Amino acid sequence: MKTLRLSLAIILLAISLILLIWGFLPVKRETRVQPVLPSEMTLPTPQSFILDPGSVS
Amino acid sequence: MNNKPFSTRHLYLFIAGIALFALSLACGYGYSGSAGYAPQPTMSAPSAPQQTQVAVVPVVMPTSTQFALPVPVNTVSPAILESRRLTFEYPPEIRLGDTDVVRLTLEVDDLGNITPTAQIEGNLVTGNIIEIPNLYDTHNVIAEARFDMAGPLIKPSELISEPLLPGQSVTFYWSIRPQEAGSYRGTVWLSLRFVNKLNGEESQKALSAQQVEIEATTFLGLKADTARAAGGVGSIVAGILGFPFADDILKFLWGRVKRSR
Repeated sequence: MKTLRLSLAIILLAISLILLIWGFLPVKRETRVQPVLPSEMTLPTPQSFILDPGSVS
Repeated sequence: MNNKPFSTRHLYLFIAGIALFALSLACGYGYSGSAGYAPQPTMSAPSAPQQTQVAVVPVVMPTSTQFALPVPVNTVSPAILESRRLTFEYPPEIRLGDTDVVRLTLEVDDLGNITPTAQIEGNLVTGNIIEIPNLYDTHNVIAEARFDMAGPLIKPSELISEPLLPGQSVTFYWSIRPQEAGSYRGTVWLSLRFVNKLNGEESQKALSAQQVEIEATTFLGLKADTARAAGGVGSIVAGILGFPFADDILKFLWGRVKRSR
């Protein structure tokens, strides 16, 4: 009776601990860092509108 | 009387004449380029006049050609004169039933150097400083961000705006809560909106598009809150069952119950 009770307690405790660990484990976070140069923070200038002088006769 | 056909004086005059001719070539005399076109400041541009000069007078220093060329007119558009750093932070995995935060920060990069510099074997080579008009003087700059992802509950789901001020960071937060287990893909967009202070004219420029993949996970089909509750209850029950005097306590309790009957 005692052995059965202790075995049951150990199994239940192991399962419970696994569930608790999974439930409270800190979530992994991913961080991306990207430099932004001043040249990227300019007013939009459509380059296609600038005519190439070589192509104009 | 000087009977020599070529005196030293004549020779000097001849060399000076050739040098003058070469200089006039270098200054663009006879340059047939269009008047309105400002050549791009690339290294390949001065190659043609340089070759001409070397062919005529090899004695004259050819490197002077680079300085004698017409200076290209720089039409630099206004810019934000700060180097900034975009930091994007997100959880690649979320337990189903949990809520997590996605963060996007556009902060001022203190180590950012606007003037291009290079250090070669201890010698510091500094690039030319180009005067760029400050965009903050002429425009109101607004940073806008949006998180597009189908499936999970995302708040706020609409476009978020925050004014971008000189020397200050902007941070955007989204809370995300998956509704079902699985893998979700989406994009976080960041753009700048420029509003002209004088005429109110608006223009927009996309700055970044971050691809995101988030996986919503379960444990044996259990959600996070269910698993935590089951784990807590199970631990308590296991603790009671495994208590050293549990047998005696149970027998004592059972005996009292029997006696009371």
